[in-house]
Amino acid sequence: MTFALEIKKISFGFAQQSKLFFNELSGQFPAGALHFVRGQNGAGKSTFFNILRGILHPQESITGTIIVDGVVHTFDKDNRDTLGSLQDDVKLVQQNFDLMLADQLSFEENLQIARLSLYPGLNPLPVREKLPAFVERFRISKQKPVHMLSGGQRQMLAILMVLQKPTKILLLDEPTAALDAHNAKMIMEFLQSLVEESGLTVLIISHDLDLVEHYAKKRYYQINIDEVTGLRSLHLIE
Amino acid sequence: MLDVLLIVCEQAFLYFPLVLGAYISISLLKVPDLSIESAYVFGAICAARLMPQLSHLSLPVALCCVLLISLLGGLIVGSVVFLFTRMFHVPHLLASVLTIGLFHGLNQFVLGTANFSLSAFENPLASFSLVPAHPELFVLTLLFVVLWVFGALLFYTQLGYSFVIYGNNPSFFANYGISSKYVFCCALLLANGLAGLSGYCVSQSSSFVDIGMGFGMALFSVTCLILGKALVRGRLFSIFVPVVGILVYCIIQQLLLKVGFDLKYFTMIQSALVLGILINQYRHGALRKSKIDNLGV
Repeated sequence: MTFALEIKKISFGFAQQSKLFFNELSGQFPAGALHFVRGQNGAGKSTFFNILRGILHPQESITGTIIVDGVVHTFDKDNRDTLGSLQDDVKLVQQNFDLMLADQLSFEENLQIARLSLYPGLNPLPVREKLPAFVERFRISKQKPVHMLSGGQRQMLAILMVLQKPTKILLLDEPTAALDAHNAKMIMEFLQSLVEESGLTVLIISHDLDLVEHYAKKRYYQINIDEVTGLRSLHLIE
Repeated sequence: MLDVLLIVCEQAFLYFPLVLGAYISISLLKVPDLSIESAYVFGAICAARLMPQLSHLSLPVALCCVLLISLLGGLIVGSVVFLFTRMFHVPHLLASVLTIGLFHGLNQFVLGTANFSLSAFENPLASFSLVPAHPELFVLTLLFVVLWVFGALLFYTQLGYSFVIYGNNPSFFANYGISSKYVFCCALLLANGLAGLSGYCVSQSSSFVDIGMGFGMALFSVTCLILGKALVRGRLFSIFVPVVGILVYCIIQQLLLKVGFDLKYFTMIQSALVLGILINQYRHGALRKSKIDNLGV
């Protein structure tokens, strides 16, 4: 089995001298599938995603290995150089997805502006790319301003916008937390279609046990907190 | 009637660069860019100080030089506001107020006096005179058309869209690896540069530069933009907003003059006009309450 993402013995602390927050996290995530990581509030789910994206503050300490699509990124106290390159391969849709949209522009315009360069110039917007066929099922208006779309549709747009640039792993931080049951179901159907049709590897982090148990086919990971030491560890639930 | 029309056009074309600049910073970027008042004066002063050195040049060349230097004067003001806001993290409104204070002194220093007459120099705006009664109209029309085309094209480019995105959601850029500092800088420089250009045109047209000539220009620009927004519907951002805004403003001004209104009270009418339009739009739901920004434009 090929893994899109492997993490090996990742230990992390918020300061070089402080006690560890994560202790030797290890996990394997097969390619082209929907994966779940569950954890209660304060378990460090968002910090875990930041590590996977290589977003660390200078004072934070990290050791271990992250392998993305066969490319090995090994970290020790003296080597953090390859952390930045993780951001090219691993993209995040944050919990507050509205911050990722220009909600006065249309769906199509948002998809175009997601591909702007670092320094936008006097050239026209990038050409519209064809969307995956399954997106049509969700009947999203392409011309209306985005603020007129439902929460679920805006979440879909945020996901599609992130995917406008080459991505190997897609991380979703609590994608259904701000949505009602109908929109949450729609988003999960959307993600399942996305994984099936594009072969993308998607990691969803959630505190919602019902959601995880309903959509995780065979297994999911859980971040546990040791009540005595406060250390967080990753456990595979099958 | 034709004469009134020509006056409206001349007035509108003189102030159009200022309103276009305000449209970029105040309306698209949604920042309280009061520094356009300083840029307006500083652009005029820079051009006025250059005038004696241009007397040996032909008028068309002198025209290009003064337009360029007034644009540059505005850019300097824009870059000072940029430094205050992005390098020293001063809130934009305060940065604008500080810039106005700073340039009030600097303007006096550069100009050397409170006002400066331009009547001793040849008028570069009258380089190509087609209508004798309005010698500046041809150059101003040319400038208006050039800026209109420039603005219309700009709002279809990546940079133009970036200005709109900045006003809509400044945190957007961080998620997609786009430099928000660069976008903000470009917009501020452009807005203030255009204000400087307008400052020169107005001072040349009235044949003098006064260090107090920028007073009320922010309110004037906001009035034009609100008028434009109230009348132009359709696309979220459009060059027609500043174009229609300034034209309608000048028409209203001329109509008031025709009925014998004393223009010294016009600032009061401006405020009342803005208030009236906004109250009307709020009451009829044309502006969503959640989307009203701190300048209402």
